[in-house]
Amino acid sequence: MSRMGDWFEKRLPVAAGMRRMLDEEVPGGARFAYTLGSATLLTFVVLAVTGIAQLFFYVPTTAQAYDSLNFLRFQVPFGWLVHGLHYWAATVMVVLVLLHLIQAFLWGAFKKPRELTWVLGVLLMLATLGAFFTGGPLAWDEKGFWAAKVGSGIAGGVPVLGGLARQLFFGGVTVGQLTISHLFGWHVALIPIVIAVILWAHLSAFRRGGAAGPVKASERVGAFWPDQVLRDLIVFAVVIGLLVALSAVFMTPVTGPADPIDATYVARPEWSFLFLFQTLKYLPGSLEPLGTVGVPFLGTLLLLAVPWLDRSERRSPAKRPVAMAVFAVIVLAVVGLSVIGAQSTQEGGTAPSGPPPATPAASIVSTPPGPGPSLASHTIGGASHGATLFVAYCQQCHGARGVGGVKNAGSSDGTVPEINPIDPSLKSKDSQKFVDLIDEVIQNGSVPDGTPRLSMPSFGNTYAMSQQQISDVEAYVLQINGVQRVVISRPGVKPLTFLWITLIGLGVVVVASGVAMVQRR
Amino acid sequence: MAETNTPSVDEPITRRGFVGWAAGLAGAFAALVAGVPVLGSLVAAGPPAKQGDLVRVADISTLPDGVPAALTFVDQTQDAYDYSILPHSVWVVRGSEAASGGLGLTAEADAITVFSPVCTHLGCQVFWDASTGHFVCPCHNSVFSIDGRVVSGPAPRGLDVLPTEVRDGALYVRWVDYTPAISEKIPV
Repeated sequence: MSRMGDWFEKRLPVAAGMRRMLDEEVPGGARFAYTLGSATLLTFVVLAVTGIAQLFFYVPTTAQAYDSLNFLRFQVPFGWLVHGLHYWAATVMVVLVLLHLIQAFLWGAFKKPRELTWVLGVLLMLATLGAFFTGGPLAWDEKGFWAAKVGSGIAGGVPVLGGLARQLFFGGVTVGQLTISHLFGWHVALIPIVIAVILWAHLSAFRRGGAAGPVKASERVGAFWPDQVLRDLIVFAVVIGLLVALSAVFMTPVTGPADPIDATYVARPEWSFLFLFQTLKYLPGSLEPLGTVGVPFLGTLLLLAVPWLDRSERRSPAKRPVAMAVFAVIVLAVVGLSVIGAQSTQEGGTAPSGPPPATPAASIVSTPPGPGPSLASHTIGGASHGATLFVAYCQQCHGARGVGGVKNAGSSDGTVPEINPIDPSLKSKDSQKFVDLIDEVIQNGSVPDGTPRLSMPSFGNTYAMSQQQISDVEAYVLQINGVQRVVISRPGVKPLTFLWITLIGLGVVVVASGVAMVQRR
Repeated sequence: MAETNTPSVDEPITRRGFVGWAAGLAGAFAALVAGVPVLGSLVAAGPPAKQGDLVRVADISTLPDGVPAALTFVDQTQDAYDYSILPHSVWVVRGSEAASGGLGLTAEADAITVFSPVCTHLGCQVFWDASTGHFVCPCHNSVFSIDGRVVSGPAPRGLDVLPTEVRDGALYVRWVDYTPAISEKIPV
């Protein structure tokens, strides 16, 4: 070692620490099957890094959360990537945590002396789901807002401790500013610290007991460095490639700004909570806490108790029929309920039957219209929710999907103007200009030439629609005219270009690791 | 005192052990002193919400008969330290059974009932489904009659009726948030 390195090592033993970390026996030899834990850790690191980066832009207030996040996504170089990685890594982390847990169960890796490693792992899963839930509402979009709303209702409905839980997680009964503030504290400070601490304990306990190794005892012993590290590297490259690909190809969904008075948005939970959502539907009101708290609580207790319920020393799944049968029943129930719940998501995607919640004709507003800047035109609306609102508020006069053809006696044109395609004088290729042009009409209304029977009501100034709803409808009107409301104006590097560069770089890592693996044989 | 210096099997508490216990207890007490107020602030309820004003929402003569109408009005709303003018939407049922066409409206002919659209289950917004003649919540399928009674689904109580007044032929409504998910109607 160089003299300088020597000097350093004597004062801070970094190399020795690295050696201790890498010097680990891998029973049965290195395998790809052992990479799930490391891959989970990788997604956590990605979430921490991108989470911190988002803090430089995100503002946790009801007024600015949604717009500040959109600013990051669409106007900050690489903001699409920072947010995209965070969004997708969250989903991938939940999946990996579940796979890691299932593997540990099937392989009997929780058995003596690794009981505590298992228990800490279950706690990590709970903390991960907690982070997953508390993160969604921070976007303060329609999906996030309604998730918080339903979540706070669920918390409040819990007997005895419900009110306290609602205060602690949601900041009160009203889902508003204190809700964002409280969820923000949980999501960016408390839960990450809890995860980091339990993770340290989980890894310490794991190193103490050593890897469980293959189910069938084997004489072979592999080395963590370099054999297992090479396999981890290949899996890391695949996970990073997947995350970048998801971020580059699928933009994170734009569901429109949170709108507390919108009755047309159908709230559905994240996929990982769908089975609970579906369970809830089968329970009458009085038994509801059974579904909201009872099932998760009992499920958690059952998971925590696994090492003491299945105490035999046999690890092979074939020799643990009872454990496997219970496991199969639970997995089938959760998957089945999730699938049924997911299907009702699709049903919910269509507009509610019957007349709209507030048809223009039935909306009578007392407050005098006031002038003022339009909030809608500078908020990025959600086109898909806009489509639902269009059916409710606009279709009656402008026809399905805005194709027009609705008679308007007395007007010079004879029909209500079609929106699809829209009058060229209202259209622009620039999405912001396009929105500004139609916003004027939607906010203030307009009267066609002649003595028309129908005229465009003022939706904004009369509060017939909220500004959030108007922004969604505007995004939809742009969409049916071939203009996207969402434009990444400053991508840094264009997403697909960036994806190719990343894939080439990761490809080199995979090939190099693969060659090294083959040579080690 | 001399015996306590030498650890012995018969004497479970040594001086060192005692100091350790004392330090632990002192630490726990300090954590309690610091922790209780911190936790207390986190679970504290917000300030009592400002009572909304009675807001004029419509002329009685413009209300349809026997069919729920969605009315929107704005009111100053307090959310912790944030005061803003926000719109509220409410369902107004003015009604007679004859006009409602057999929906089971039990109110007197000219009675006006104003329902909060906030579902009493978990706080989503109900809509009026004309094809079935019910209020329906899109979240967990709670169904309410035109009178606001629970027909089916998980809702723990009927739709909340908001305080109203009629003055000079106009309807005034006071917006109130009620706590969802419990069987009693309690203002937030």
